[in-house]
Amino acid sequence: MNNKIMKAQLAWLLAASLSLISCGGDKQTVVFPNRGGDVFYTYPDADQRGVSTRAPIVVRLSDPVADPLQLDDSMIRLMQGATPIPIDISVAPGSDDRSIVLRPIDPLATGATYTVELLNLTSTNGQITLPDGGFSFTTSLAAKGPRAQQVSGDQFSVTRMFPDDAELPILDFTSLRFQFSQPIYIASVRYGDTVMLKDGEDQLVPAVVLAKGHYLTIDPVEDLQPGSSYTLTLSEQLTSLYGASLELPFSGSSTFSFSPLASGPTEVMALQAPASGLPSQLTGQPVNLVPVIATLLGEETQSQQQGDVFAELAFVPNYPVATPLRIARGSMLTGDELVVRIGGQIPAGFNSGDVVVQFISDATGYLLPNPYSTSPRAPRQIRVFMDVAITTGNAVANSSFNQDVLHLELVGQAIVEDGVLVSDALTVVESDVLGLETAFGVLSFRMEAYADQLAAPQPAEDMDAPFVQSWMPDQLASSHRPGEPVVINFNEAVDPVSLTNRITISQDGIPVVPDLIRQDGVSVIITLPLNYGSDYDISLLDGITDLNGNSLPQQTLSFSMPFYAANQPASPVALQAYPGFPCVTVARDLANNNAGRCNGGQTTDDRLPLALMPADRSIQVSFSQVMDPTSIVAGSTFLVEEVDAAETSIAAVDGRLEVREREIVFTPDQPWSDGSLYRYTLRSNGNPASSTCNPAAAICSATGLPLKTRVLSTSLANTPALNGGGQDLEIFFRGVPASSSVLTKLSNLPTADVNSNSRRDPGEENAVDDPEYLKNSARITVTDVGGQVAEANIGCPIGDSCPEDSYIYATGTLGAEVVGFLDAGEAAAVARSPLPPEVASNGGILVYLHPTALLTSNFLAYARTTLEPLTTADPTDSGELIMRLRYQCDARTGAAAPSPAESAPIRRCDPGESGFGEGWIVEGVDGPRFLATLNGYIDGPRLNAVARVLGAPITLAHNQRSYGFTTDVRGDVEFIDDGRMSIALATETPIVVLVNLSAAGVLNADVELTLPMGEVILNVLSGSVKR
Amino acid sequence: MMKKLSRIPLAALIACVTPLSNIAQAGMSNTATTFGILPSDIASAQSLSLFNNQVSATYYNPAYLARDTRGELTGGLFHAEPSLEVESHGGVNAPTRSGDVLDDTPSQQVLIGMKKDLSFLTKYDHPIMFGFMAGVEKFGKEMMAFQSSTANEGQFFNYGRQPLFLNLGVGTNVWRGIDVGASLRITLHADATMTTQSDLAGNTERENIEVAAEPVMVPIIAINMNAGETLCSRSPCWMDKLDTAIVYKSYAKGETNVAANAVIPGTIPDPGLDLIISTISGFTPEIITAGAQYQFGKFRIGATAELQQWSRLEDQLQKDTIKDQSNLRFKDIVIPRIGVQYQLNEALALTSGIAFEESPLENSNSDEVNYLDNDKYILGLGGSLLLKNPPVLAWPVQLDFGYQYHYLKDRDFSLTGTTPDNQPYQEDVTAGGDVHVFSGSFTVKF
Repeated sequence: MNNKIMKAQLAWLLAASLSLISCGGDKQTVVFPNRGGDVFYTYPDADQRGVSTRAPIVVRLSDPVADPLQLDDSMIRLMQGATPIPIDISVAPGSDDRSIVLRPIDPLATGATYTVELLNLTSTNGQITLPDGGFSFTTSLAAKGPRAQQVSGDQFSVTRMFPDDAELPILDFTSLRFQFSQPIYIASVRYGDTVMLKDGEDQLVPAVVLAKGHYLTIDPVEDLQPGSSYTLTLSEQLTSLYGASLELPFSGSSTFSFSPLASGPTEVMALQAPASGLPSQLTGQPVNLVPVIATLLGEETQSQQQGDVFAELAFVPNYPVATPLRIARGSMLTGDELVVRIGGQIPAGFNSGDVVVQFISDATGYLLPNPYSTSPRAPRQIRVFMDVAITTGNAVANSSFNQDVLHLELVGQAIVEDGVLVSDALTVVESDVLGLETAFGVLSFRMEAYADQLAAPQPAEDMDAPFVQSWMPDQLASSHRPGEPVVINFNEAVDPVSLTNRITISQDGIPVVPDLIRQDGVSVIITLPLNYGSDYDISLLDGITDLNGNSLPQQTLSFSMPFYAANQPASPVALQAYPGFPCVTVARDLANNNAGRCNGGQTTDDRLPLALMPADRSIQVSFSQVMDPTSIVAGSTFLVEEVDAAETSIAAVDGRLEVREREIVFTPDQPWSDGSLYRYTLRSNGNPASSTCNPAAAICSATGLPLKTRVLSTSLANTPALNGGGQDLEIFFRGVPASSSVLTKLSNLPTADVNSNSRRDPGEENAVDDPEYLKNSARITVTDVGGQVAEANIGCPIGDSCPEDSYIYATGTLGAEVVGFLDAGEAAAVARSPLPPEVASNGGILVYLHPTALLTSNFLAYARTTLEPLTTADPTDSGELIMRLRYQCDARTGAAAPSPAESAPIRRCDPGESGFGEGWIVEGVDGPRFLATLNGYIDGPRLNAVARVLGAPITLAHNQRSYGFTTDVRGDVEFIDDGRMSIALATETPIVVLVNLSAAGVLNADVELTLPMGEVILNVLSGSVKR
Repeated sequence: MMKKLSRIPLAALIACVTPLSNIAQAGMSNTATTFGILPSDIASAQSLSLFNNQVSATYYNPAYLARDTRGELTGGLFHAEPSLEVESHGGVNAPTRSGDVLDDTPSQQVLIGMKKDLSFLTKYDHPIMFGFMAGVEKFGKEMMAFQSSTANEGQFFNYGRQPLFLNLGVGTNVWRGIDVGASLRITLHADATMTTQSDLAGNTERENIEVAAEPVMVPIIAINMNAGETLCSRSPCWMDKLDTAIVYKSYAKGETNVAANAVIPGTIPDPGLDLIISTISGFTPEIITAGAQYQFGKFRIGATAELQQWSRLEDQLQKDTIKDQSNLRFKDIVIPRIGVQYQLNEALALTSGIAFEESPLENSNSDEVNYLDNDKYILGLGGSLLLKNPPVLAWPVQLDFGYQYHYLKDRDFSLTGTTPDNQPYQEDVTAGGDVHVFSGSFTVKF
C-alpha cells in the first residue's frame, strides 16, 4: 500500500514538475506609452487665411487643461511677429476644461499674420506641443477703409482658390470660389466675358456668379459632367476696385482646365442645428446663437438659429481621406427675431421678424483628417465654404440688415458620438448694419445628424412666390435725389440668373439702360442717372424667381423725381464736409488746433476746432447740386496733402476718389497718421462773383457753375453771387486713431427748395399746399416791431394773408456720429453740455452732431413805417439765410475773449476736444426720440432792406450776421420700410430773431421775427442702406 | 500531506493549460509539421515518422501504411505549451513590457485516426491500406482556430492554436519492397459575406449573412522502398533492414475571406461601403522529405531531410489584406532530423529524436505585423507500450507517450508600427523561449 502511495506521489511530483517547467516565465503585459496630450482643434485652423479680425482663438485639447484657473500667457500666447498681443485667456465653460479661448483685447490688424504659441501648456495627460511650437493664421483684409487695409499687394491677383483641385478635389457638384488680393470692381464681373466657365464644346456653362469684396463664387446651375473637361477663365479685364487688372491667375494663364470627379452616388445626410441653449464645447457660448455686436446695436443683440441642414455627401468610399460634401443652394436656417435696440438699449420700434439664413450658392465642404492629431480619439476636421443671404421677416429690418455674406468659412470638428455624427464649427459672421458699420458675431455652429436618417425630415419644399417687400424711393420720391440708387427689397433672395434681362427701366416712357444692376441679399440695387422731374418705371418682368423656382408676379414700380426749377440756377455749395466745416477759413492756427473761422463771417466768430479724423475714415463732401464728375479729379481739382503747422505741403496723399452725383468720397491708401496734419482742397474759380467754371481747373456743377466756397459776407456788396464761385475750399484736419463710433450722413429731405438755390421759385411746392413740405421748413412770424416800423408782414403786403409765403425751406446735410449707449452716470461724465432730463435720469445714446451750415430759402418782409408817407419801406428780400451750427467750444488760444455783438461767446476748447454738438437718442413713448440743443448763428448776407425817404432809396444796415440762437429740438426716430432712418426734429422753444435795421444812425427799425415752437422742423434722412 | 501534494500539480496544470492571455494567437503552423501528430512522431522529432506504421503515416508517408496491414484505431490527446518570450531593448515610443512571456497560447488537440485494409472491398487479395487522421483544437471544441492580425507588441510566426487537421489516404505495395501511397490533406477555405443597412451607431437592418467553408484538398504522394526486398536477390540480405522513403506534400493554406457591405442611410448609399478582408489563416509549405532508417537489432535509427519551400508564402501574403504591407520575405529551409528507437522488450519501446529547424522568416522587421520567429532545436522523447492481451479488449492495445521540447534560439527583431494611440513606434527586441509538448495516444490494433 505504501509502495502504491509512493508511486502515486512520485507520479504527481513528476507531473507537477513538468507542468511548472512548461509554464515558463511570467506572462508579459505590454503597455504602450501614452501619447500625451494633443491639440484636437484650433480656430483659426493652422495657416488659415481670411480670418476675421474679431475672431477668438480657440485651442481644443484632447484632455482637460491641467490647471484651468492658472492659465496665462506664459503657457499660451498670441504673437504678431515678435510682439505679444494682449489677450484674455480662459477655458470655455462646458468644454470639460478642454477648450482654451483667447480673446484679443483689441481687434486684430487686417491682413496680418499671427502666431499662437504653445509655451508650457499642460493637460492632465501631459504636455501639449505642436510642431514649430504653435500655429499661424492670417487675418482678412478690410472691406472698407484705407487701401492699405483692403489690399494684400499692389497686384490684383487670386490669392486662394477653393477647392484647389489638388488636396481638395473638384467634383461635379463643387462650386468654385476665388479670393483676391484686392476688392473686385463688381461691374467688371461679367459672366460670359471676364468670367467664364465653358464645357468641352466651348459652351458657356449656366452658373450663378456672386461677387462681393474680395470674393467671387461660381456655382454651376446644374452639376457638371464628371470626367468631362471644363475651362474656367478669369480674364485680365477683371479689375479691382483700385483699377488694377487681374494678374494671370493660373500659372501664367487666365484659364484653368479641369475634369471634375464624380460625386455619386451621393447621399443626403439630414442634420439639425439645434437651439438647445447648451454651450458650445469650443467656445462655451450657446450653440447656434448669432450675436450681432455693433455700436448701433450694442452687444446684446443676438439671434438663435435653428433648422435642418441637408448635407449631400459624395460617395464616401471613393473619398476616404477628403470627403467632399455640398449643402444645396436654397437651403436655409431660421432664427428667432432680433430684438432691435439702438445701442443695445433703446428699442428701435421694430423687431426683425424671423431671421433667415439662406444659402445662395451650393456650399462646398470637406471632411478631412484631423490636422493636428493622429489619435484615434481625434475628431475629423470639417471645412465648409458658404455664401448666404441674411434676411429678416420685418420689412424695415429686412431692408436694414439683409445682405449677402460670401465665403463664410466654417472650420469645425466632426465625430460620431453615440451613433450620431455631430459637428461643432466656428466662424465669424461680419455683417453690415444699416450700411454704416460692420457688426460681427462669433457663430458656434453645431449640427447633429438625425440618428435615424430614414425617418429624418425631408427638405421643406418652398412653394411661396417671392414678393417685393419694400423699395426705394417708393413713397419718398420727393426726397429722392440724383445719385441715390433705386433699391428693391424682396422678401427672400431671388435667383440672380433669373434676374438677367428681366428688369427694364423707362424714363418718361423711353427705355433707359442702367449703369449697373446688382444684387445683395434680397436687394436689387439699380444705379442709373436720375433726372429731376422725370417719371420712371421699373418693370419686373415675368420669369424672376426665388432660389426654388417660384415666380415673382410681373409688376411695375413707378416714381417721379421732384420738380427742379431751373430759372435761377445756383452754384453748388458744400453742404457738409467731413472732416471739418464746409467753409473757407481764415485766422487759422493749426499748431494750436485752431482751424480759424469762416471767411465772410464776423471776426468775433468762434474759432473752429481743428477737425480730428479717425485713421480709417474717408473724406466726404456733400454738394447741394448734381456735379460734373469730370471736374472732380484727384490731384487736380481735389487735393489731399499732408501739411505742417505752417500749412506747407509735405506730401500729397494718395487715395481713391469716388465721385458721385452729389458727393465725393476720398479714401486714403494709407490710414491717416496719428497726429499728422492734413489738408484737402476743393478747387473753385477763385471769384465769388463769376459763374465761369472750367472743369479742368475747378469743381463745377453739372450745369457748369463753379463751386461756391463762401456763403457769408460782412456786407451786401461782398456777398457772393448766386451763381458765383470762390477761392479754393481748404479744410484742415489732424489724424487720430480709429474710432468705434459710427458716422452717418443725414440729409435735410424732403425740402421744397429742390434746386437748392435758396429762392422760392415758381412751381416749387410749399408747406401749406402739401404738408409733406413742412419737413425742413420754418414758419416766420412777426411778433413785434419797433423803431420806425409800425407794422410788418411776411410774404405779402400788410393786410394780405399768404401763409404759403411765410415759410422758408432748408437745404442741408448733417453729419452725425453715433457713439453708443451711456448710462446716466457715464452720460454726465462725458457730456460737455447740459443733459436733457431723460438722459440725466436714464441715460441715452450719445450722438455727436457735426456742425455745418444749413441754407434756407428766402422770404419777403413787408413793413409800414411810422414815417409814412415821408419814409416808406420796400419789400425786403431776406435772401438766403445761413444757419451755422456752432461747435461747443471756441478753439482760439491766447487772445482775449471776444465780445460778439449778436451772440454769446462760448467756452474755450479743452485739449483734444472735438467740439461736436451733442444729441441723444432716448426711449420715447412711441419709439426712440432724438433730443438736442442747437446753438447756432444766423446770417442773412443777402438781406437787402431798403427804405425810401422821399422816394430816395436808402439801404439799411442790419444785424443779421452771426446772429446767435439757441433752441432745443426733439423728434421721433423712425425707420422707413426701405431701411433708412428719418428723424423729424421740431423746435421745443421758439426762435426769436430781433432784426435791427438802421441807416446813418437816423433810421432805426426793429422787427421781431419768431419761428414759433414746433414750427421749425428739421427732417433728416439717412442715405440708402445699399449702393 | 498527500492532499496538499496532490493540489499543487493540479493547480499548476490548470494554470498551464488555461490561456493567460485573451489574445488567441495562431501562427503559420500546423500540428503535423511543427510538432508531430502522434506521440511517436513527437518523440522522434519526426525523424522516424517516414517509417511509422501508425495511422499518422497517412500524412507523413502514406506509402508506409502498406507496411502493416493490421487495422488500427487511435485516439489521443496533444498539448503544446509554448513560452514565447520577448525582451525589449527600447526604442521610439516603445512599450513597457513587464513579464517575459509574450505568448503562451497552447495548442490542445484531440486526435483520432484509423487505418484499415480495404482489400476486402475488392476482388483481389492485395492489401490496400486506408488511413484517416484528424486533429481538432481545444480538445475537440474548436474546429477553426485561427487569428490573423497585425500586432503592435509582436507575434510569433509559429505556435498557438492550430487549425483543423484532417488527412486521409491510401497505401499499397506495388512491387518487391516498394510501396506507394497518396493522401489528401484537407484544409478549409472560409468565405463569409454580409450585407446590411446600418446607422452610425451600428444598429443594423436588412441583414444578410452567408458563411461557407469550402474544403480544399491538397495531395501528398509518397514512395518507400525496403532495399532488401527490392534490390537483393536473396534473403536474408543486409539491406533487408534498410528502408528509404521520399514524400512530396503540396503546399496547403487555409484562407478566409470576409466581404461585408454596409449601406448607411444618410452617409453611404447603395452600393454601400465594402469591407473586404482576405487573409491566410494557416500555411504549410511545399515539403519534400527524404529519409532512411536502418534496424540494428533492437535499435531502429532513422534520419530525414525535409525541404520546406516557404518562399511561396511571400506571394500568398501579398494577397493578404492584413499582412500585405509588411513586405515579408521567406526562404526555403532544410530541416535535418535524426532519431532512434530502442525496443526494450516485446511490449515496450523507447524513442528519441532531434532536429534543427531554421527559421524561414528572413525579415527582422515586418511593419505592423511584427512577426517573430526563431531557429530552434527540437528534442523528442517517448515510449510505446504494446499490450498484446489487454483486459476487456479482444485486440492488442498500444499506449504511446511523447514529449517534445523546442528551444528557440534568441533572435533580434525591430518592431515597428503605430501604437494603439496611433503613434509611430519602433522597438528593438530579442525573441526567444521554449515549448513543451505532451502527447498521449491509445491505439487498438485489429
